[in-house]
Amino acid sequence: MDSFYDLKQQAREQWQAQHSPIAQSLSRVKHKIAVFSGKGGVGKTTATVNLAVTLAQQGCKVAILDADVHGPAVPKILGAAGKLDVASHRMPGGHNSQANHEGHHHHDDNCCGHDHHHDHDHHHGHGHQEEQFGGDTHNLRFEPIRTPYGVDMVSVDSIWPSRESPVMWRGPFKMRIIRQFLSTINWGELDYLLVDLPPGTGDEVLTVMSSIPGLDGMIVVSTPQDVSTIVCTKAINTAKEMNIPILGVLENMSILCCPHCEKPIKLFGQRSAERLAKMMEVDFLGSIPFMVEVNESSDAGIPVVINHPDSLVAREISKIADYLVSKVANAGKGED
Amino acid sequence: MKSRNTGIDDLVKEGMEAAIQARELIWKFTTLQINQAEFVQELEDVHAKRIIFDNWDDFQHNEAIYPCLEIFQVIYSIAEDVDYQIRYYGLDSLREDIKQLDMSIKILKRYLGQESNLNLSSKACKCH
Repeated sequence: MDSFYDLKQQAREQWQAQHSPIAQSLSRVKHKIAVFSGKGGVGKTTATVNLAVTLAQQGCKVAILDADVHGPAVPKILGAAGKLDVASHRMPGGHNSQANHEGHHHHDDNCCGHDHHHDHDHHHGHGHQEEQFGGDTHNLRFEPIRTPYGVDMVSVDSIWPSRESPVMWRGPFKMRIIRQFLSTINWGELDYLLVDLPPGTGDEVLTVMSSIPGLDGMIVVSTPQDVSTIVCTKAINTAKEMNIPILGVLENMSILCCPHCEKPIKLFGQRSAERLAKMMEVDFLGSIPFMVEVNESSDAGIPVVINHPDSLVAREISKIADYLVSKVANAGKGED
Repeated sequence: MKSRNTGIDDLVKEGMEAAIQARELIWKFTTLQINQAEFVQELEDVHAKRIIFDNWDDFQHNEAIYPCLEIFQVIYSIAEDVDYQIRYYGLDSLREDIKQLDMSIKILKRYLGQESNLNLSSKACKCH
């Protein structure tokens, strides 16, 4: 049984977590979801970006935090090469000069059932900040990078001087940059913040799991190979150890569609990710097929759901997004 | 001789001075000469966050002074997040930060192209 001291300590830590700069910075983010995998190269970032863009197309306000410190790929796939800009804190109520909201969040019929009128002040809460900006540094913020696809984004590439220079940071420094992104970015009002994690269960993953208050859960991306699903088991167990819900397993590169007849070819065998989901008693979110267009689109900096909106990949991602929206919404209702 | 931006040089010197001060504070804190509240307060007095934001464009457009940004990031992070760092990485991780600060100072000294008059040796950390 916990001693009085332990309970007091827990209460103190809970209070601190709720009132931390990170908690305050994310206070208007409805759902926070991390995407991870045990193994690298399973298409985690591609899945994250396309899910985010699909959610944005449905009218949600979405941002991605690229927490892959050593191999950030979100900017490339989103075609977003800019650097972070300091929020317009010296002009209370003003707009950030760099912000490019063209084509941003057009849909009134949005996925979350709220009527978002997307004026910038509402989205980024400048009106709210107007009262707060003062002489102290508490409200100094960076604006996330706007992309043409209605998804905001932050990555190490957004602050790193050149794409060619390697990031040589060890544990605490990786923790530091992720926590600084969480606390100093003007995330504003969001329906979804997706966090793209590097493979494995290293510093970045543990930092995200332990730093984001009210993390809705994790999506596990796997390919239908034993080598991937085995490592995913470890990743899922890590999340369970830390009491982070698993929203489900997403199978990527499930089949290759023949470019001529669209006949499915099982590249890696039978649905082992689905078996993994059953075995670990978590949901199976769906399968994304492998198509040459995915890679071509990513290289061109245009998400495949934009570039090939009628493709099988885009349709499957749309189904997964719908499932996810309903899952997190129902989870929220369960808590109430 | 290549002309240099004196504003940038001043920023670099400010970064080096802050790094020296920070590593001394870390040393004092990890050897229990000052308590956590004093440690955090002294680091906050560096105003690292303000410096980062005020000089953001310079940091982004001048790769050579990136270590200066890293110095202020370390100081800002420790000031704001020392509880988290100690809980997950232990007190010794702060001494790792001293090494990081030292490395940044070394690179910045090279950037300034001169032996710094900041008297680094007399304030060298006693922990290694």
